[in-house]
Amino acid sequence: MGYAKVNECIIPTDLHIAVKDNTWVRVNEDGTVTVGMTDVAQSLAGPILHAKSKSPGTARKKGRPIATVESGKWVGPIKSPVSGEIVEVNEELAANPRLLNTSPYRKGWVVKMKPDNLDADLADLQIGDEAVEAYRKKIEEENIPACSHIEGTEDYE
Amino acid sequence: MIHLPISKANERIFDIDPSQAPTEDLRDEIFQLEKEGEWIVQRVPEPYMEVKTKYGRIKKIPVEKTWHHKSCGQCGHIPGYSTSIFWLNRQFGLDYYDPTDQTSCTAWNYYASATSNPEAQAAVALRNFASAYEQGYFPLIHCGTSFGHYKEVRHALVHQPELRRKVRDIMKRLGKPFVIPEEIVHYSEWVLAMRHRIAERQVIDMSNITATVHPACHYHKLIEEDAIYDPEIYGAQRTAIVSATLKALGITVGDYSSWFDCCGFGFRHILVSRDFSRSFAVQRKIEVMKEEVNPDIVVTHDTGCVTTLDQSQFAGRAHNKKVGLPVMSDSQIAALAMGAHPYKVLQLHWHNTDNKPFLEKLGIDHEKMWAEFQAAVDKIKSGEMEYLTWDEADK
Amino acid sequence: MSKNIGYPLDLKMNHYADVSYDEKERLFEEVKADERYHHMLYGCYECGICVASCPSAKFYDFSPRVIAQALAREDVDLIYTLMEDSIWDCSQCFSCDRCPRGNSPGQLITIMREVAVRNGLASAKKALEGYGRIIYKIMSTGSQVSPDMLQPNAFPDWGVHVNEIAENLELWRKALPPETLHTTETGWTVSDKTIIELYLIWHMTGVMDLIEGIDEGLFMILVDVMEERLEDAGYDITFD
Repeated sequence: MGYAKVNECIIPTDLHIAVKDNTWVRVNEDGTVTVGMTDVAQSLAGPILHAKSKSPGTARKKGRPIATVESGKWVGPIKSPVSGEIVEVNEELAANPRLLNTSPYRKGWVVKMKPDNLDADLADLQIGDEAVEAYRKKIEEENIPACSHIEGTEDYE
Repeated sequence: MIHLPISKANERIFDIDPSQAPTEDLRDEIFQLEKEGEWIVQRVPEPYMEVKTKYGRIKKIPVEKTWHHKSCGQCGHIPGYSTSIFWLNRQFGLDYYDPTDQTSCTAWNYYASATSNPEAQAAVALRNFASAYEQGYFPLIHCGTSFGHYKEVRHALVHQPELRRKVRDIMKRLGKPFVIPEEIVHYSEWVLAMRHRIAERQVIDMSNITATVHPACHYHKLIEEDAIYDPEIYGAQRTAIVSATLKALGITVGDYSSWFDCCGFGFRHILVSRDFSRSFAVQRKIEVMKEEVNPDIVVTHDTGCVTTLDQSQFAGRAHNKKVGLPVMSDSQIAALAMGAHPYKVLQLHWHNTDNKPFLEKLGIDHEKMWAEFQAAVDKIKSGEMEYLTWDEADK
Repeated sequence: MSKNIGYPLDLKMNHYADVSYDEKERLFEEVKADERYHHMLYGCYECGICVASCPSAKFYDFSPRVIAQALAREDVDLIYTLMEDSIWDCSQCFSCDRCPRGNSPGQLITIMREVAVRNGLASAKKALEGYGRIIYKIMSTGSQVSPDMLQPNAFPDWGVHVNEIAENLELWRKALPPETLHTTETGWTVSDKTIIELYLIWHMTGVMDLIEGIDEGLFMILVDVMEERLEDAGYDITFD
């Protein structure tokens, strides 16, 4: 996985990113997409205590919540970066919500979806250098503090 | 020059005369509104006990047929508190109801965040009252915050016809009756009214115990006329709640200079501005109690107060503050006096400040008791028992 | 944006000069228009009894007397400053109800807070940061604190005892005699019908609009939960 580091925040270069909502999309070979939250998101939230995804079969428009995430001080949605139907849910998150902190791009994936309109939705996301730059800008404009990583975070090196 | 007759302070008699009360008796208006067809008033079931409130008015306290309006904080964090209230009822063979058709009063959230409005708060209250009425039981409020809040809601509904109309409309749309209970009764008032009956069944001698009492702000400061006062307790200069109960159990109640102070719960503060709560609880309440009385136990009658006073002492200890006073509710003390199991019933393992010295002073073998509780827990773990039942709790 | 970083409270006249007088006046009038207002304020003669009994006054640079005074004098600028910088310090104990005039600064503050929330004041949002989980819990389950909130990182200053509870939670909850208390996600077992009635109350009283003004993300997930549950129960209701 290629990535860049901005202000200690890990930004992958080969995933599509919804910078505004701090989510990412991985296009799978079978036409589904895997969705999760970014390193910035996990740092802002702090150690996650609960993660509850919508069930398989749920149709979600872009921007609607696909999961609710709770940390000690915060509760909020993971907003879907694409419109589609949830086909699979990461069962591990129920038992081990910290995966969202320690491995947000791999083990901490949230749902898999069957997208309605992938090309159109991807056009609104960024990837590669564009994503890194967009994130750099957001971190600066919003005064987002340097990303913190809890113990057990996967080695990005 | 005006000459006033000089009387000795200790010869003055403070007579409470209801006809001299500075405020109206809200119940008159409540019944008047019933006559006008505005709502149904749920009567206190008979037999009931009578107590006197601040201005000498009689308040009716039901004995049984009570609908137990539970407390979020008790049920969530200190479940032995709720358990002890039910246990007391069961010991006297009283008919009570523990509903699932009950929501939180939502007042903690309201006082903390103001993310609500008078209509919502009143609708939540009356929905719960309607649920009790439908069940045929009379509401008994477990939490001090709920109690204070429901008194306020009642006051607002009596004085604001527009609010009343809105809430009646909401109840109608929910298909529920629009009913207000004749009295808003706090469980500690029930315990106080039952204190002599409790004392009759006392098996643990508490005459060597000194306690300090912390009265909940929302019990006696909010709509103050509805709190119990008794000439035999503090000469009716302070609310008799909890103190009267402890005295009946033979406990010495010690006075301290910050008696009237809030515990520091703060609603919002205990969750997100915690330095305030724990500083206030430790420095204005616990340290003062320890310094001036050094009690064996601190007794209060509200969820937030038990929580704040009990939990704040850990941080206090880290700062070398003079803390270390166990905290319990009046219902837990009353239950303990009647022989309730400290872990199966009082559930003291949910409390924070060390209460073992207190149990030891009462001659209770807490190690044996803990082993009994652990044995029950093991049975649940192994699947032999699904839950700890009431029968098991009394073995 | 609240300018008060802490102590002392800055009550200078030009403190919020960037907010128009009209806006400040509008907010004050909203407070005054509340039906309860005239039951809470009868004029203040500055005796200070309220301050003497106030726990927040001992800890913060906070004064219920100043609040009652500002409202009684209808000092629009001062009232706005207090709404931004002061009202969230109140611990809602109502010790100030002992006012010899029959005022209730605490109750007045409740109204001021409602107005602040309703108008999405930045200081209201800030005051409620970190409180979102509680609102989520109370709105969606009708239970303010649940057993599973007893986690060490939620209550670090309650000490190691919380660890013990968190580890034994499920088992200890089953070791409770009252049948309604065998829960972990809520304080007690709440029936489905009750939850629906609660959601309907939120809908009929416009409470969700307040939440939306405070925290959009929170609003979104609450509405999601509620609309789904209401739909399952046969109600066609949206909160937008």
